[in-house]
Amino acid sequence: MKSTDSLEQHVQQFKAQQPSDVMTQAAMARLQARLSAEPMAESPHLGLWQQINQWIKRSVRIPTWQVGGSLATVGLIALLYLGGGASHPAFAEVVEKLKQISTLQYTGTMYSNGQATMKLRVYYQAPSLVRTEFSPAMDNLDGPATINLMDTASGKGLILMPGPMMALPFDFGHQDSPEDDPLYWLEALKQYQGEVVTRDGGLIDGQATTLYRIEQSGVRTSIWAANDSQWPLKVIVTASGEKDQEVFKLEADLTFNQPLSPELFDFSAPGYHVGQPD
Amino acid sequence: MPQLTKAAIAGLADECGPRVFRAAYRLLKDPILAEDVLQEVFLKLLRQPRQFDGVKNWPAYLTTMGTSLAIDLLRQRRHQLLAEEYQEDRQPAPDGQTAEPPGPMQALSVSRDLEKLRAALTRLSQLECQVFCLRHLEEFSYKEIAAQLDISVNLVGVTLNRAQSRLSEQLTESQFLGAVYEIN
Repeated sequence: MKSTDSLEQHVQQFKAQQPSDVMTQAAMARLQARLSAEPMAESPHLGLWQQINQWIKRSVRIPTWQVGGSLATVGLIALLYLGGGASHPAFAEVVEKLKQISTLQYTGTMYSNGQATMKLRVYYQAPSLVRTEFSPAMDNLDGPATINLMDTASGKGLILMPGPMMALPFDFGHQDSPEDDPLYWLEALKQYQGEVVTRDGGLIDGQATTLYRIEQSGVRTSIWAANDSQWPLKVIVTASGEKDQEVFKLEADLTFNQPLSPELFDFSAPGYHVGQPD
Repeated sequence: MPQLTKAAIAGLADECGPRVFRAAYRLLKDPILAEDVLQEVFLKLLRQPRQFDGVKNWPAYLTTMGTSLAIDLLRQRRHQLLAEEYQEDRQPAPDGQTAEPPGPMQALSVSRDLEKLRAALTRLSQLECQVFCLRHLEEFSYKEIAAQLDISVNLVGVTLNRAQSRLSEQLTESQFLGAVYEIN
């Protein structure tokens, strides 16, 4: 028996489990009695501190989108973010380099609450194509990766599942909330005009680097650029939740302007069975 | 819906309570625990009404909440069972006794299958487990799941695929491991 058949069989058995009507009615009667006996809590308007707290939570949704919408764009947008209002002279040179990007690729590791959750490989072809390959799990890096193709110009995406050879299209157009729209974040990040922290970045692959760090809405982006060429070599994006707990982190090594095969961005998904989400 | 009142919560309980109870029961196979989940869901509405101001789809929201609480309980129960098994393993077995499960073999087989799936679910991440249960047990659409869990439709698809792969893998493994129980 195939493993997928086995799973389907188990799921059907699971769904067949139903509480009896008597059991459900008794549970509902006890629930209503409890609700009737329980006092309703006061519902004061949110205080200032709670509002700030909620604002922080909303801000932390930035990486949530990036994880959900396209991990690929995490680092990419972070880089384009830097392409906004640069103020530091050396940083401005880095921004100039970033404006010359034709392709970008990186391998990275995602962390959530301090734990590595997945590996990813990202390919970006200017101006709008992004491909992300997700490892199946941290403890199984050799299995078939799930692949996510996105065209930010058309708002079309495709999830490729090499195991069952299934492809699943999805839209992420303007109907979505800002947090779900890659272009929204791209434009928002381009408007950045804040301060840039600059430090000696030490050696990376034998090259002396400078570290540039920016922070906005609880998301901190650190980028290391080679002193000689000004090309960025590494990026770390982190987001903190309440009590400064780091809830999200992407750490990635970057490669620019290497030719990428058009096959990487082939939305026709040859060999895949293309389905619909719903 | 305007601000939650006691009457409104009672109405929601009537409308959505049975579905929440069924969702919890399927996961836990324990009416008492499922009822605990049911009460917990609606008592939260009473105790923190402002927290639910933005809810647009109450049936989906409450079922998701119930499923999440049931998953938490399932994990806790799994940990307890593992701890108990560990303790039992350390006890010397009485002479001549084997751990032969009682009951008709066919029912036992189905029951064992269900326990396999429950055990496998507890080994998924919280998000994978939620997405899998909401999709396959509650039959929510990708969009509904995305809205309830505050993630993108894209991530729902990716997570579901990962969950299915991991479950299929575990269930296949457990079939081999369970071969000694097959009836000849």
